[in-house]
Amino acid sequence: MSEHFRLDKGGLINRSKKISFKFNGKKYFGYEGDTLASALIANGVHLVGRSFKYHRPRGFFGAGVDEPYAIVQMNRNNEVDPNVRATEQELFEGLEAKSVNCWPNVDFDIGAINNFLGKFFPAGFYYKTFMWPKSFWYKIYEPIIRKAAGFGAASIKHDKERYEHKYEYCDLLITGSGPSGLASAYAAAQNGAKVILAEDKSRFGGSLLTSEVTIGNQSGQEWAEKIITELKSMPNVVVKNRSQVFGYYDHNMLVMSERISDHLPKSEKYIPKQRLWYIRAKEVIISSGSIERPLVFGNNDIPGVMLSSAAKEYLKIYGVLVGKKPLVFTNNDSGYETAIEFKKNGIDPIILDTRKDPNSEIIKEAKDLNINIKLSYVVVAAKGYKKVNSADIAKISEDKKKY
Amino acid sequence: MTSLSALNHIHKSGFFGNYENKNEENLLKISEIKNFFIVQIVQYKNSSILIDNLNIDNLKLKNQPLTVVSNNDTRILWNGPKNWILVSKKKDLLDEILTVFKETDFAVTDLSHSRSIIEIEGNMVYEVLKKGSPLDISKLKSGDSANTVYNGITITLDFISNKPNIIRIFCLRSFGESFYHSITDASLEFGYKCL
Amino acid sequence: MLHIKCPHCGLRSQNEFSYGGDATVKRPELNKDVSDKDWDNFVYLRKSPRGKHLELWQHISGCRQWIKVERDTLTHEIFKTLKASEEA
Ligand SMILES: [Zn+2]
Repeated sequence: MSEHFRLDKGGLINRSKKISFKFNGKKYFGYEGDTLASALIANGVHLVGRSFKYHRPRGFFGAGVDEPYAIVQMNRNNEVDPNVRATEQELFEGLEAKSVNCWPNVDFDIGAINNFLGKFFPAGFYYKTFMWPKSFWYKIYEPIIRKAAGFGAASIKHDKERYEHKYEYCDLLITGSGPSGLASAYAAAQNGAKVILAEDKSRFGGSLLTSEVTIGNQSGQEWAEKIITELKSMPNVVVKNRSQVFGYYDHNMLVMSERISDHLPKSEKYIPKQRLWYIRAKEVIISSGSIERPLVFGNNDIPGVMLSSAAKEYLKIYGVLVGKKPLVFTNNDSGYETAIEFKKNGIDPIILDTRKDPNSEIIKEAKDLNINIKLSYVVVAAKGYKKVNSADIAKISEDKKKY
Repeated sequence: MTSLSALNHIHKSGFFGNYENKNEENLLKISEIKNFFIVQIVQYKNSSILIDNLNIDNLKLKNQPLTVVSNNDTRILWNGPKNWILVSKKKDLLDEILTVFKETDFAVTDLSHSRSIIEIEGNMVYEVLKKGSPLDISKLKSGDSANTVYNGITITLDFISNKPNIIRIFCLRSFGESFYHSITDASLEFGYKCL
Repeated sequence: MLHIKCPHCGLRSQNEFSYGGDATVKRPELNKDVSDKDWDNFVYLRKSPRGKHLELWQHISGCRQWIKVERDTLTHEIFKTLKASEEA
């Protein structure tokens, strides 16, 4: 299958290195620097899983750690890893992954009947119903429930990978390498402080990688690269990518998980797969940025409905279109950035803005690009089952009491 | 009497871990220190003797935290308030110690066979220690000592030298083999040579 | 994980210490008659306050000394640490 949704140019992927991988047994291609999610979207795959209880189709919603849906079962070097986020898993040659929580497969899932029987499944249904007759439990109820419950399947083999931990002390721990993280790391490091800069993703730069900004006379991305190179050369600075600070405990003890080998086909001998850092920091700067909050409307869990910031990230970092007829529903200016990126790449988006009369430079820019903007409009419900195909929209009435 | 050293059964010489294609200079060197004379010297709480007047193997006790006083044969490690560990190559110091440190003021305990001692040398020694010890060792240097834990095992660190980095680590003899496994496992990534 | 300043060794991680309970409890005096109630109070009754609390810790994997730590049981803030012989 060819990559219908990959742009001819753009993004930070290495287009000279093609990578083949398998999803649900089918072979696809992506590029070095892709995540499993970006490569699947480039191939037009949006149905990746099923929801837990009602087995509703699940696609991609975010582009990173915030992904709630696209959870897959990974197979790497003959070891299985359950419940990996496709948006976080970097692509490597020979990667194999499959959907979880569906049977017999993600396209035709018998459990999805729960979706239509939903009215008859009140909370607490499970344990009250399966008590009688007693003899049914071991042979019938339990095996079926076990099949229906849980996401990925844990391995029953001994894990041959190495996992290590490490204690570290520093004057300043910075979580996130966006503009503020980089600027603070640089300032502190130049004053001689012992600095640890942790970035969850594989690339440094955070929002500088997806925003059209300039710092001084450089693009945000060039500036980030320059600062990172300088920081790496300083003996008092530890710069770590693929390292997620995930806990903040008493007396400034923070915990960071470093994914050393997860992005490689297999770990090098004696090198750990992951390392847990216990960091005692004198000061901490949390410059993690923020995660966009989704808007609420009917069926907003259908594959193809996603955060506009994620759509922008797929476009800017991976050169991937999440769709060719995007509808951007927003209540603030950030949705316009995404729409403008689509427009620049030859795709005509429609913007629905809940606001009546918004005014800013970026809105003017969108208007100048002849983007179709509908003000005071909302999405009532998305339509489609395995992939979104249309949406019901409505204008907000003047008194906001009805639409 | 001959006796087996604490790590006699598991410490084997050779190259281990990620040592291939590496300059031997950059490998960690791990050795077992054995046949040392070790005593703990504790001054009683109500003792009023001035330790400045006491000399053992030409060394004076020093009641300053985290320090070591040493000469070529003997090192005296601060082990707590009024509490020292004396480690020496001289196996016949006991009589001298008992004369200097009178039993009215000091408790002297021979610990020679109750410790296992590992010495690690190399550029990555501090990195190996960080993999199990919650102590901030970055500021400790030659002439310092510290008690801490390594993967839950209580240890004593003696910072022998900074160029090259040499650290001597003591732990209870019964924990010796577990501790040795902890240290060698943490060293695999860097590659090490057992002497 | 707490970071406790041992008055002898300096700042150390909690895993070098073991907890020794309330430091304000006084043992009934020796060689005197002690009522059952006083014994009961000494052996079993503890206040378990929310807030400032003076407690004993032992630097078991360090200098092995008992120390006093004034700690907030709610926020874990440590206000001061003392040698066992010192009065708060
Ligand atoms: Zn101490």
